[in-house]
Amino acid sequence: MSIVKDSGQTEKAFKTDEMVINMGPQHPSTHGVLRLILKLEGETVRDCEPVIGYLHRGMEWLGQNRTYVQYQALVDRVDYLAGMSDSHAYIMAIEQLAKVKVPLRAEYIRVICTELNRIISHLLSLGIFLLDLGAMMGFPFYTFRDRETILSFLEEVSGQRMMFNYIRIGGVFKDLPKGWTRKVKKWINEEFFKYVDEYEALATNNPIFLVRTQGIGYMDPNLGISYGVTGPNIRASGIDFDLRKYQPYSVYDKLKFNVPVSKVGDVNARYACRIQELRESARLILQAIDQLPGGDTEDLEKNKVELTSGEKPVFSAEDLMIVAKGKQVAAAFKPPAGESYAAVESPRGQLGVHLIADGSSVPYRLKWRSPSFNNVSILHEMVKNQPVADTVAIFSSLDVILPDVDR
Amino acid sequence: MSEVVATPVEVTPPSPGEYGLFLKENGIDSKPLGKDSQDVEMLELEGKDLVKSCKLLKENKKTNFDLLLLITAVELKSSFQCVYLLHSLSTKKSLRIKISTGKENPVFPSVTSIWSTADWYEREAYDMMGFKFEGHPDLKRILNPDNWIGFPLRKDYIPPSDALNGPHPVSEKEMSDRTLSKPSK
Repeated sequence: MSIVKDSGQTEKAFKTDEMVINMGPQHPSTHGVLRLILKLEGETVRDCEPVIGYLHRGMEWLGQNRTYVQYQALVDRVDYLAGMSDSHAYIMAIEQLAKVKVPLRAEYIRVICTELNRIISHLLSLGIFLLDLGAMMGFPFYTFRDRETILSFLEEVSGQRMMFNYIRIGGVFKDLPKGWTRKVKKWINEEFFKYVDEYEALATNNPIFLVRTQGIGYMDPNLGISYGVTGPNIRASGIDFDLRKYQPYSVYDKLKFNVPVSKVGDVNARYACRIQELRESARLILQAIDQLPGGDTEDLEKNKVELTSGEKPVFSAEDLMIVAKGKQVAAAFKPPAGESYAAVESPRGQLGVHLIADGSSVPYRLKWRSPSFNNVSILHEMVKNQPVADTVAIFSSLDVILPDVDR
Repeated sequence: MSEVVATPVEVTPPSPGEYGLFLKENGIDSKPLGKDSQDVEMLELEGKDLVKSCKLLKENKKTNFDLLLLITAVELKSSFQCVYLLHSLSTKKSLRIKISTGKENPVFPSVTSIWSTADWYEREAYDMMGFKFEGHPDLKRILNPDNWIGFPLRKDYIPPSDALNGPHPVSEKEMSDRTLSKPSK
Protein backbone atom coordinates (compact mmCIF):
# COMPACT_ATOMS: atom_id res chain seq x y z
CA MET A 1 0.00 0.00 0.00
CA SER A 2 1.47 3.33 -0.93
CA ILE A 3 0.03 6.65 0.07
CA VAL A 4 1.36 9.79 -1.54
CA LYS A 5 2.51 12.07 1.22
CA ASP A 6 0.79 15.40 0.76
CA SER A 7 2.15 17.31 3.74
CA GLY A 8 0.67 14.73 6.10
CA GLN A 9 -2.95 15.46 5.18
CA THR A 10 -3.81 12.01 3.89
CA GLU A 11 -2.16 10.38 6.87
CA LYS A 12 -4.19 12.55 9.15
CA ALA A 13 -7.35 11.66 7.30
CA PHE A 14 -6.68 7.95 7.68
CA LYS A 15 -5.43 8.11 11.24
CA THR A 16 -7.14 5.61 13.45
CA ASP A 17 -7.68 5.88 17.16
CA GLU A 18 -5.60 3.76 19.46
CA MET A 19 -7.46 0.82 20.82
CA VAL A 20 -6.61 -1.21 23.91
CA ILE A 21 -7.38 -4.88 23.62
CA ASN A 22 -6.65 -7.91 25.71
CA MET A 23 -4.86 -10.91 24.34
CA GLY A 24 -5.39 -13.76 26.70
CA PRO A 25 -5.28 -14.88 29.43
CA GLN A 26 -6.84 -17.92 27.78
CA HIS A 27 -5.35 -17.53 24.35
CA PRO A 28 -4.55 -21.02 23.08
CA SER A 29 -1.20 -20.04 21.61
CA THR A 30 0.23 -18.38 24.68
CA HIS A 31 2.03 -21.46 26.04
CA GLY A 32 0.25 -21.33 29.34
CA VAL A 33 -1.78 -18.49 30.70
CA LEU A 34 -0.38 -15.12 29.70
CA ARG A 35 -2.30 -11.93 29.25
CA LEU A 36 -1.05 -9.18 26.98
CA ILE A 37 -2.59 -5.75 27.10
CA LEU A 38 -2.02 -4.45 23.58
CA LYS A 39 -2.40 -0.87 22.50
CA LEU A 40 -3.20 -1.06 18.80
CA GLU A 41 -3.28 1.53 16.09
CA GLY A 42 -5.01 -0.27 13.28
CA GLU A 43 -3.02 -3.48 12.88
CA THR A 44 0.13 -2.13 14.51
CA VAL A 45 1.07 -2.72 18.13
CA ARG A 46 2.04 0.60 19.72
CA ASP A 47 2.49 -0.68 23.24
CA CYS A 48 2.28 -3.97 25.04
CA GLU A 49 2.17 -4.90 28.68
CA PRO A 50 2.49 -8.54 29.70
CA VAL A 51 0.43 -9.43 32.75
CA ILE A 52 1.75 -12.55 34.44
CA GLY A 53 0.98 -14.51 37.57
CA TYR A 54 -1.98 -16.61 36.45
CA LEU A 55 0.03 -19.77 37.09
CA HIS A 56 1.64 -18.61 40.30
CA ARG A 57 1.82 -21.53 42.68
CA GLY A 58 4.12 -20.09 45.31
CA MET A 59 7.05 -22.38 44.59
CA GLU A 60 9.34 -20.31 46.81
CA TRP A 61 6.92 -20.31 49.73
CA LEU A 62 6.43 -24.08 49.32
CA GLY A 63 10.19 -24.57 49.33
CA GLN A 64 10.62 -22.56 52.50
CA ASN A 65 7.99 -24.63 54.27
CA ARG A 66 9.30 -28.06 53.36
CA THR A 67 12.50 -29.92 54.06
CA TYR A 68 15.16 -30.12 51.38
CA VAL A 69 14.27 -33.72 50.66
CA GLN A 70 10.50 -33.15 50.52
CA TYR A 71 10.88 -30.26 48.11
CA GLN A 72 12.81 -32.44 45.63
CA ALA A 73 9.53 -33.84 44.35
CA LEU A 74 8.11 -30.38 43.65
CA VAL A 75 10.93 -28.73 41.73
CA ASP A 76 10.10 -30.47 38.45
CA ARG A 77 6.91 -28.42 38.36
CA VAL A 78 8.72 -25.10 38.08
CA ASP A 79 9.28 -25.62 34.38
CA TYR A 80 7.33 -28.71 33.49
CA LEU A 81 9.00 -29.18 30.13
CA ALA A 82 12.48 -29.25 31.58
CA GLY A 83 12.03 -30.99 34.90
CA MET A 84 15.50 -32.52 34.79
CA SER A 85 17.14 -29.10 34.53
CA ASP A 86 15.06 -27.80 37.44
CA SER A 87 16.09 -30.72 39.62
CA HIS A 88 19.68 -30.41 38.50
CA ALA A 89 19.92 -26.74 39.50
CA TYR A 90 18.21 -27.27 42.85
CA ILE A 91 20.26 -30.34 43.73
CA MET A 92 23.49 -28.64 42.64
CA ALA A 93 22.76 -25.71 44.96
CA ILE A 94 22.36 -28.10 47.90
CA GLU A 95 25.41 -30.13 46.93
CA GLN A 96 27.55 -27.00 46.69
CA LEU A 97 26.43 -25.97 50.13
CA ALA A 98 26.86 -29.36 51.79
CA LYS A 99 29.96 -30.21 49.72
CA VAL A 100 28.46 -33.54 48.62
CA LYS A 101 30.62 -35.42 46.16
CA VAL A 102 28.65 -36.90 43.29
CA PRO A 103 29.86 -40.18 41.78
CA LEU A 104 31.08 -39.89 38.21
CA ARG A 105 28.57 -42.39 36.89
CA ALA A 106 25.71 -40.39 38.39
CA GLU A 107 27.03 -37.23 36.75
CA TYR A 108 27.00 -38.95 33.36
CA ILE A 109 23.50 -40.26 33.93
CA ARG A 110 22.40 -36.72 34.83
CA VAL A 111 23.87 -35.35 31.63
CA ILE A 112 22.24 -38.04 29.49
CA CYS A 113 18.83 -37.47 31.04
CA THR A 114 19.07 -33.67 30.98
CA GLU A 115 20.01 -33.70 27.32
CA LEU A 116 17.14 -36.05 26.49
CA ASN A 117 14.93 -33.62 28.36
CA ARG A 118 16.34 -30.73 26.31
CA ILE A 119 15.38 -32.55 23.12
CA ILE A 120 11.84 -33.08 24.44
CA SER A 121 11.51 -29.42 25.32
CA HIS A 122 12.85 -28.20 21.98
CA LEU A 123 10.64 -30.61 20.06
CA LEU A 124 7.57 -29.32 21.81
CA SER A 125 8.54 -25.70 21.38
CA LEU A 126 9.32 -26.18 17.69
CA GLY A 127 6.05 -27.96 17.07
CA ILE A 128 4.02 -25.32 18.85
CA PHE A 129 5.99 -22.56 17.17
CA LEU A 130 5.01 -23.80 13.71
CA LEU A 131 1.43 -24.21 14.90
CA ASP A 132 1.44 -20.61 16.13
CA LEU A 133 2.59 -19.47 12.71
CA GLY A 134 -0.43 -21.18 11.23
CA ALA A 135 1.30 -24.29 9.90
CA MET A 136 -1.52 -26.74 10.45
CA MET A 137 0.13 -29.15 8.03
CA GLY A 138 1.17 -31.55 10.71
CA PHE A 139 4.60 -30.41 11.74
CA PRO A 140 3.64 -30.76 15.43
CA PHE A 141 2.65 -34.35 14.79
CA TYR A 142 6.14 -35.13 13.55
CA THR A 143 7.80 -33.57 16.59
CA PHE A 144 5.28 -35.04 19.01
CA ARG A 145 5.79 -38.51 17.56
CA ASP A 146 9.51 -38.38 18.44
CA ARG A 147 8.84 -36.62 21.72
CA GLU A 148 6.73 -39.61 22.70
CA THR A 149 9.66 -41.99 22.14
CA ILE A 150 11.93 -39.99 24.43
CA LEU A 151 9.20 -39.65 27.04
CA SER A 152 8.97 -43.42 27.20
CA PHE A 153 12.77 -43.63 27.54
CA LEU A 154 12.65 -41.29 30.50
CA GLU A 155 9.64 -43.11 31.91
CA GLU A 156 11.67 -46.31 31.95
CA VAL A 157 14.40 -44.53 33.88
CA SER A 158 12.41 -42.52 36.40
CA GLY A 159 8.92 -44.02 36.38
CA GLN A 160 7.36 -40.72 35.32
CA ARG A 161 6.71 -39.13 31.97
CA MET A 162 7.15 -35.48 32.87
CA MET A 163 7.63 -34.90 36.61
CA PHE A 164 10.69 -37.09 36.82
CA ASN A 165 11.99 -36.41 40.35
CA TYR A 166 15.01 -38.39 39.19
CA ILE A 167 18.04 -36.33 40.19
CA ARG A 168 18.55 -36.61 43.93
CA ILE A 169 21.01 -35.30 46.47
CA GLY A 170 24.25 -37.24 45.99
CA GLY A 171 23.34 -38.89 42.70
CA VAL A 172 20.25 -40.13 40.96
CA PHE A 173 17.15 -42.06 42.03
CA LYS A 174 18.32 -45.38 40.64
CA ASP A 175 20.56 -46.80 37.97
CA LEU A 176 19.65 -47.01 34.30
CA PRO A 177 17.53 -50.05 33.42
CA LYS A 178 19.07 -53.03 31.69
CA GLY A 179 19.74 -52.49 28.00
CA TRP A 180 18.52 -48.88 28.11
CA THR A 181 21.70 -47.24 26.86
CA ARG A 182 21.87 -49.56 23.85
CA LYS A 183 18.26 -48.78 23.00
CA VAL A 184 18.73 -45.02 23.22
CA LYS A 185 21.93 -45.15 21.20
CA LYS A 186 20.30 -47.23 18.49
CA TRP A 187 17.29 -44.91 18.27
CA ILE A 188 19.43 -41.77 18.01
CA ASN A 189 21.81 -43.23 15.46
CA GLU A 190 19.25 -44.89 13.26
CA GLU A 191 16.24 -42.63 13.57
CA PHE A 192 16.64 -39.32 15.38
CA PHE A 193 19.18 -37.66 13.07
CA LYS A 194 16.97 -38.58 10.13
CA TYR A 195 13.96 -37.08 11.88
CA VAL A 196 15.74 -33.77 12.40
CA ASP A 197 16.50 -33.65 8.68
CA GLU A 198 12.83 -34.33 8.14
CA TYR A 199 11.79 -31.32 10.25
CA GLU A 200 14.20 -29.15 8.35
CA ALA A 201 12.87 -30.41 5.02
CA LEU A 202 9.37 -29.47 6.16
CA ALA A 203 10.03 -26.02 7.52
CA THR A 204 13.46 -24.46 7.12
CA ASN A 205 13.26 -23.51 3.44
CA ASN A 206 9.50 -23.28 3.16
CA PRO A 207 8.78 -19.89 1.49
CA ILE A 208 5.72 -19.16 3.65
CA PHE A 209 7.69 -19.98 6.77
CA LEU A 210 10.52 -17.70 5.67
CA VAL A 211 8.14 -14.78 5.02
CA ARG A 212 6.63 -15.21 8.47
CA THR A 213 9.97 -15.44 10.27
CA GLN A 214 12.77 -13.60 8.50
CA GLY A 215 13.48 -10.05 9.61
CA ILE A 216 10.79 -10.17 12.28
CA GLY A 217 11.23 -9.67 15.99
CA TYR A 218 14.83 -8.50 16.02
CA MET A 219 16.48 -8.63 19.42
CA ASP A 220 19.38 -6.31 20.04
CA PRO A 221 22.12 -8.22 21.90
CA ASN A 222 22.85 -5.37 24.33
CA LEU A 223 19.19 -4.87 25.09
CA GLY A 224 18.83 -8.62 25.58
CA ILE A 225 21.68 -8.70 28.07
CA SER A 226 20.21 -5.73 29.89
CA TYR A 227 16.94 -7.64 30.23
CA GLY A 228 18.83 -10.74 31.37
CA VAL A 229 17.80 -12.83 28.35
CA THR A 230 19.74 -16.10 28.14
CA GLY A 231 19.64 -19.39 26.29
CA PRO A 232 19.00 -19.87 22.57
CA ASN A 233 17.30 -16.45 22.45
CA ILE A 234 20.49 -14.52 23.20
CA ARG A 235 22.66 -16.95 21.22
CA ALA A 236 20.54 -16.19 18.16
CA SER A 237 21.53 -12.54 18.63
CA GLY A 238 25.23 -13.29 18.46
CA ILE A 239 26.25 -13.71 22.10
CA ASP A 240 27.97 -17.01 22.74
CA PHE A 241 26.69 -17.64 26.24
CA ASP A 242 26.00 -21.25 27.04
CA LEU A 243 26.76 -22.32 30.59
CA ARG A 244 27.67 -25.82 29.44
CA LYS A 245 30.66 -24.36 27.60
CA TYR A 246 31.08 -21.08 29.47
CA GLN A 247 31.27 -22.46 33.01
CA PRO A 248 31.19 -26.23 32.54
CA TYR A 249 29.36 -27.96 35.37
CA SER A 250 28.80 -31.71 35.84
CA VAL A 251 30.82 -33.52 33.14
CA TYR A 252 30.21 -31.15 30.23
CA ASP A 253 33.92 -30.32 30.09
CA LYS A 254 34.64 -33.94 29.09
CA LEU A 255 32.25 -33.89 26.15
CA LYS A 256 32.70 -32.34 22.74
CA PHE A 257 29.91 -30.24 21.29
CA ASN A 258 29.30 -26.98 19.45
CA VAL A 259 27.18 -24.09 20.60
CA PRO A 260 25.04 -22.84 17.71
CA VAL A 261 25.29 -19.06 17.50
CA SER A 262 23.66 -16.80 14.93
CA LYS A 263 24.22 -13.10 14.43
CA VAL A 264 20.89 -12.38 12.76
CA GLY A 265 18.73 -12.08 15.86
CA ASP A 266 15.30 -12.52 14.28
CA VAL A 267 12.59 -15.13 14.74
CA ASN A 268 14.15 -17.37 12.10
CA ALA A 269 17.56 -17.30 13.80
CA ARG A 270 16.05 -18.45 17.09
CA TYR A 271 14.32 -21.32 15.26
CA ALA A 272 17.58 -22.28 13.54
CA CYS A 273 19.51 -22.28 16.83
CA ARG A 274 17.00 -24.67 18.39
CA ILE A 275 17.09 -27.05 15.42
CA GLN A 276 20.89 -27.14 15.65
CA GLU A 277 20.75 -27.73 19.38
CA LEU A 278 18.71 -30.88 18.76
CA ARG A 279 21.63 -32.37 16.86
CA GLU A 280 24.18 -31.18 19.42
CA SER A 281 22.19 -32.67 22.29
CA ALA A 282 21.97 -35.99 20.45
CA ARG A 283 25.75 -35.91 19.95
CA LEU A 284 26.22 -35.21 23.65
CA ILE A 285 24.05 -38.19 24.60
CA LEU A 286 25.97 -40.55 22.31
CA GLN A 287 29.31 -39.42 23.75
CA ALA A 288 28.08 -39.61 27.33
CA ILE A 289 26.78 -43.14 26.78
CA ASP A 290 30.13 -44.17 25.33
CA GLN A 291 32.03 -42.68 28.26
CA LEU A 292 29.59 -43.90 30.93
CA PRO A 293 31.74 -45.48 33.67
CA GLY A 294 30.62 -49.00 34.47
CA GLY A 295 28.79 -49.46 31.20
CA ASP A 296 25.38 -51.06 31.31
CA THR A 297 23.86 -51.84 34.71
CA GLU A 298 24.26 -55.56 34.81
CA ASP A 299 28.02 -55.28 34.23
CA LEU A 300 28.68 -52.76 36.97
CA GLU A 301 30.08 -55.02 39.65
CA LYS A 302 31.86 -57.25 37.17
CA ASN A 303 33.54 -54.26 35.56
CA LYS A 304 34.68 -52.96 38.89
CA VAL A 305 36.46 -56.21 39.74
CA GLU A 306 38.06 -56.41 36.34
CA LEU A 307 39.21 -52.84 36.37
CA THR A 308 40.61 -52.86 39.91
CA SER A 309 42.66 -55.97 39.18
CA GLY A 310 44.35 -54.41 36.20
CA GLU A 311 44.34 -50.65 35.75
CA LYS A 312 43.00 -47.73 37.77
CA PRO A 313 39.27 -48.06 38.53
CA VAL A 314 37.06 -45.52 36.81
CA PHE A 315 34.56 -45.50 39.61
CA SER A 316 34.78 -45.94 43.33
CA ALA A 317 32.93 -47.93 45.96
CA GLU A 318 30.83 -44.82 46.47
CA ASP A 319 29.51 -45.14 42.93
CA LEU A 320 28.29 -48.63 43.64
CA MET A 321 26.69 -47.59 46.90
CA ILE A 322 24.79 -44.58 45.58
CA VAL A 323 24.06 -45.52 42.01
CA ALA A 324 23.63 -49.27 41.92
CA LYS A 325 22.15 -49.86 45.36
CA GLY A 326 19.94 -46.77 45.24
CA LYS A 327 21.07 -45.31 48.54
CA GLN A 328 19.20 -42.14 49.52
CA VAL A 329 20.03 -39.33 51.91
CA ALA A 330 18.19 -39.09 55.21
CA ALA A 331 14.81 -37.35 55.22
CA ALA A 332 16.07 -34.71 57.64
CA PHE A 333 19.16 -33.89 55.63
CA LYS A 334 20.74 -30.72 56.98
CA PRO A 335 23.23 -28.74 54.89
CA PRO A 336 25.39 -26.31 56.87
CA ALA A 337 24.50 -22.62 57.16
CA GLY A 338 25.64 -20.62 54.20
CA GLU A 339 24.74 -19.32 50.81
CA SER A 340 25.03 -20.77 47.33
CA TYR A 341 23.92 -20.02 43.80
CA ALA A 342 23.90 -22.86 41.30
CA ALA A 343 22.94 -22.42 37.66
CA VAL A 344 22.45 -24.82 34.79
CA GLU A 345 21.73 -24.29 31.11
CA SER A 346 18.10 -25.26 30.78
CA PRO A 347 16.49 -25.42 27.31
CA ARG A 348 15.32 -21.85 27.89
CA GLY A 349 18.45 -20.30 29.34
CA GLN A 350 20.22 -19.91 32.62
CA LEU A 351 18.18 -21.56 35.34
CA GLY A 352 19.52 -20.83 38.79
CA VAL A 353 18.71 -21.46 42.40
CA HIS A 354 19.82 -19.03 45.08
CA LEU A 355 19.79 -20.83 48.38
CA ILE A 356 20.33 -19.32 51.82
CA ALA A 357 20.53 -21.93 54.56
CA ASP A 358 20.57 -21.51 58.32
CA GLY A 359 21.68 -25.02 59.21
CA SER A 360 18.22 -26.50 59.70
CA SER A 361 16.53 -29.08 57.49
CA VAL A 362 14.37 -26.38 55.84
CA PRO A 363 15.75 -23.77 53.40
CA TYR A 364 15.73 -20.30 54.97
CA ARG A 365 15.38 -18.57 51.61
CA LEU A 366 15.07 -20.20 48.24
CA LYS A 367 14.85 -18.09 45.12
CA TRP A 368 14.44 -19.30 41.55
CA ARG A 369 16.11 -17.56 38.67
CA SER A 370 13.87 -18.87 35.95
CA PRO A 371 14.95 -17.99 32.42
CA SER A 372 11.44 -17.49 31.05
CA PHE A 373 10.80 -14.69 33.55
CA ASN A 374 13.55 -12.63 31.92
CA ASN A 375 12.75 -13.79 28.41
CA VAL A 376 9.15 -12.59 28.62
CA SER A 377 10.12 -9.27 30.21
CA ILE A 378 11.71 -8.15 26.93
CA LEU A 379 8.57 -8.93 24.91
CA HIS A 380 7.12 -5.40 25.04
CA GLU A 381 10.29 -4.02 23.47
CA MET A 382 10.21 -6.54 20.64
CA VAL A 383 6.58 -6.24 19.57
CA LYS A 384 6.52 -2.46 19.55
CA ASN A 385 5.52 -1.12 16.09
CA GLN A 386 5.07 -4.62 14.69
CA PRO A 387 1.87 -5.99 13.16
CA VAL A 388 -0.37 -7.70 15.68
CA ALA A 389 -0.15 -10.98 13.76
CA ASP A 390 3.60 -11.07 14.41
CA THR A 391 3.12 -10.74 18.16
CA VAL A 392 2.27 -14.42 18.40
CA ALA A 393 5.24 -15.38 16.20
CA ILE A 394 7.66 -13.30 18.28
CA PHE A 395 6.31 -14.54 21.58
CA SER A 396 6.37 -18.12 20.39
CA SER A 397 9.95 -17.82 19.14
CA LEU A 398 11.07 -16.77 22.63
CA ASP A 399 9.99 -20.24 23.84
CA VAL A 400 8.51 -19.01 27.08
CA ILE A 401 6.86 -21.47 29.43
CA LEU A 402 4.44 -19.67 31.71
CA PRO A 403 4.75 -21.89 34.81
CA ASP A 404 8.45 -21.07 34.65
CA VAL A 405 7.60 -17.35 34.58
CA ASP A 406 5.10 -17.46 37.43
CA ARG A 407 6.66 -20.21 39.55
CA MET B 1 14.88 -19.64 63.80
CA SER B 2 18.37 -18.27 64.30
CA GLU B 3 19.77 -15.29 62.42
CA VAL B 4 21.20 -16.27 59.06
CA VAL B 5 24.93 -15.86 58.77
CA ALA B 6 26.15 -15.55 55.23
CA THR B 7 29.43 -17.31 55.85
CA PRO B 8 30.51 -19.78 58.53
CA VAL B 9 31.43 -17.91 61.71
CA GLU B 10 35.06 -16.87 61.48
CA VAL B 11 37.37 -15.60 64.17
CA THR B 12 38.93 -12.89 62.01
CA PRO B 13 36.74 -10.65 59.87
CA PRO B 14 37.14 -11.38 56.13
CA SER B 15 39.53 -9.11 54.26
CA PRO B 16 38.19 -7.02 51.36
CA GLY B 17 38.23 -8.83 48.04
CA GLU B 18 38.98 -7.64 44.53
CA TYR B 19 35.80 -5.62 44.07
CA GLY B 20 35.81 -4.31 47.62
CA LEU B 21 39.22 -2.80 46.91
CA PHE B 22 38.02 -1.51 43.54
CA LEU B 23 35.14 0.32 45.19
CA LYS B 24 37.48 1.63 47.88
CA GLU B 25 39.72 3.13 45.17
CA ASN B 26 36.69 4.99 43.87
CA GLY B 27 35.75 6.32 47.27
CA ILE B 28 32.96 3.91 48.20
CA ASP B 29 33.16 2.05 51.48
CA SER B 30 31.92 -1.52 51.63
CA LYS B 31 31.83 -4.24 54.25
CA PRO B 32 33.45 -7.48 53.05
CA LEU B 33 31.45 -10.65 53.76
CA GLY B 34 34.01 -13.16 52.52
CA LYS B 35 33.40 -15.71 49.78
CA ASP B 36 30.80 -18.39 49.27
CA SER B 37 31.42 -22.04 48.39
CA GLN B 38 31.90 -21.15 44.71
CA ASP B 39 34.46 -18.43 45.43
CA VAL B 40 32.06 -15.60 44.67
CA GLU B 41 32.87 -12.39 46.47
CA MET B 42 30.15 -10.96 48.69
CA LEU B 43 30.03 -7.45 50.08
CA GLU B 44 27.60 -5.22 51.90
CA LEU B 45 26.97 -1.65 50.81
CA GLU B 46 25.14 1.30 52.29
CA GLY B 47 21.82 1.91 50.55
CA LYS B 48 22.84 5.38 49.42
CA ASP B 49 25.94 4.05 47.62
CA LEU B 50 24.12 1.34 45.66
CA VAL B 51 23.20 3.14 42.44
CA LYS B 52 26.55 4.91 42.27
CA SER B 53 28.58 1.74 42.74
CA CYS B 54 26.38 -0.36 40.40
CA LYS B 55 26.83 2.22 37.68
CA LEU B 56 30.57 2.16 38.28
CA LEU B 57 30.75 -1.65 38.33
CA LYS B 58 28.80 -1.89 35.09
CA GLU B 59 30.48 0.85 33.10
CA ASN B 60 34.10 0.38 34.13
CA LYS B 61 36.03 -1.72 31.58
CA LYS B 62 37.83 -3.63 34.33
CA THR B 63 34.72 -4.89 36.11
CA ASN B 64 32.00 -4.66 33.42
CA PHE B 65 29.11 -6.35 35.22
CA ASP B 66 26.67 -6.33 32.32
CA LEU B 67 24.31 -9.04 33.57
CA LEU B 68 22.09 -8.74 36.61
CA LEU B 69 21.20 -12.35 37.29
CA LEU B 70 18.85 -12.01 40.20
CA ILE B 71 17.58 -9.82 43.00
CA THR B 72 16.70 -11.89 46.07
CA ALA B 73 14.64 -10.31 48.83
CA VAL B 74 15.47 -11.80 52.21
CA GLU B 75 13.86 -11.31 55.61
CA LEU B 76 16.33 -11.59 58.46
CA LYS B 77 15.55 -11.53 62.16
CA SER B 78 15.92 -7.80 62.65
CA SER B 79 16.35 -6.46 59.13
CA PHE B 80 15.34 -6.78 55.50
CA GLN B 81 17.95 -7.49 52.88
CA CYS B 82 18.24 -7.29 49.10
CA VAL B 83 20.85 -9.49 47.45
CA TYR B 84 22.01 -8.51 43.96
CA LEU B 85 23.69 -11.24 41.92
CA LEU B 86 25.88 -9.69 39.25
CA HIS B 87 27.82 -11.38 36.50
CA SER B 88 30.24 -10.17 33.88
CA LEU B 89 30.29 -11.84 30.49
CA SER B 90 33.72 -10.44 29.61
CA THR B 91 35.62 -11.31 32.81
CA LYS B 92 33.46 -14.37 33.70
CA LYS B 93 33.28 -13.24 37.32
CA SER B 94 30.39 -12.90 39.71
CA LEU B 95 29.70 -10.58 42.60
CA ARG B 96 27.02 -10.49 45.25
CA ILE B 97 25.98 -7.17 46.75
CA LYS B 98 23.82 -6.98 49.86
CA ILE B 99 21.86 -4.02 51.17
CA SER B 100 20.06 -4.03 54.50
CA THR B 101 17.37 -1.82 56.00
CA GLY B 102 15.39 -1.73 59.20
CA LYS B 103 12.10 -3.61 59.51
CA GLU B 104 9.76 -0.60 59.87
CA ASN B 105 10.17 0.93 56.46
CA PRO B 106 12.05 -1.19 53.90
CA VAL B 107 13.04 1.26 51.17
CA PHE B 108 15.79 0.50 48.67
CA PRO B 109 17.14 2.53 45.77
CA SER B 110 16.04 1.21 42.37
CA VAL B 111 18.60 0.02 39.82
CA THR B 112 16.17 -0.06 36.88
CA SER B 113 18.15 2.72 35.18
CA ILE B 114 21.21 0.44 35.05
CA TRP B 115 19.74 -2.98 34.23
CA SER B 116 16.28 -3.22 32.63
CA THR B 117 15.75 -6.64 34.18
CA ALA B 118 15.65 -5.01 37.63
CA ASP B 119 12.18 -3.70 36.73
CA TRP B 120 10.42 -7.03 37.15
CA TYR B 121 12.67 -8.31 39.92
CA GLU B 122 11.95 -5.21 41.99
CA ARG B 123 8.24 -5.58 41.35
CA GLU B 124 8.54 -9.18 42.54
CA ALA B 125 10.38 -8.12 45.69
CA TYR B 126 7.60 -5.59 46.34
CA ASP B 127 4.92 -8.19 45.70
CA MET B 128 6.43 -10.91 47.88
CA MET B 129 8.18 -8.98 50.64
CA GLY B 130 6.73 -5.48 50.51
CA PHE B 131 10.01 -3.74 49.69
CA LYS B 132 9.72 -0.29 48.18
CA PHE B 133 12.11 0.85 45.50
CA GLU B 134 12.77 4.55 45.12
CA GLY B 135 12.94 5.56 41.47
CA HIS B 136 11.11 2.53 40.06
CA PRO B 137 8.90 3.63 37.13
CA ASP B 138 5.83 1.54 37.99
CA LEU B 139 6.01 -0.33 41.26
CA LYS B 140 3.01 -2.66 41.51
CA ARG B 141 2.29 -6.31 42.19
CA ILE B 142 3.45 -8.75 39.53
CA LEU B 143 2.58 -12.34 40.47
CA ASN B 144 -0.27 -11.86 42.93
CA PRO B 145 -3.54 -10.10 42.05
CA ASP B 146 -3.55 -6.32 42.54
CA ASN B 147 -6.01 -6.52 45.44
CA TRP B 148 -4.01 -9.05 47.42
CA ILE B 149 -3.50 -8.25 51.08
CA GLY B 150 -0.19 -8.92 52.76
CA PHE B 151 3.22 -9.98 51.52
CA PRO B 152 3.36 -13.77 51.15
CA LEU B 153 7.05 -14.45 51.72
CA ARG B 154 7.30 -12.57 55.00
CA LYS B 155 7.73 -14.85 57.97
CA ASP B 156 4.67 -13.41 59.76
CA TYR B 157 2.34 -13.88 56.79
CA ILE B 158 -0.82 -15.91 57.35
CA PRO B 159 -2.21 -17.47 54.18
CA PRO B 160 -5.95 -17.02 53.60
CA SER B 161 -8.10 -20.10 54.07
CA ASP B 162 -9.64 -19.87 50.61
CA ALA B 163 -7.55 -17.57 48.51
CA LEU B 164 -9.14 -18.35 45.18
CA ASN B 165 -12.88 -18.24 45.79
CA GLY B 166 -13.51 -15.97 48.74
CA PRO B 167 -12.79 -12.31 49.38
CA HIS B 168 -9.54 -11.97 51.20
CA PRO B 169 -9.14 -12.39 54.12
CA VAL B 170 -12.22 -14.20 55.37
CA SER B 171 -12.87 -15.82 58.69
CA GLU B 172 -13.93 -19.45 58.86
CA LYS B 173 -17.37 -18.43 60.18
CA GLU B 174 -17.98 -15.98 57.36
CA MET B 175 -17.07 -18.68 54.91
CA SER B 176 -19.42 -21.28 56.37
CA ASP B 177 -22.23 -18.69 56.56
CA ARG B 178 -21.87 -17.96 52.90
CA THR B 179 -21.94 -21.64 52.00
CA LEU B 180 -25.06 -22.24 54.08
CA SER B 181 -27.00 -19.29 52.69
CA LYS B 182 -26.62 -20.57 49.13
CA PRO B 183 -30.02 -21.50 47.63
CA SER B 184 -30.33 -25.25 47.45
CA LYS B 185 -31.58 -26.91 44.30
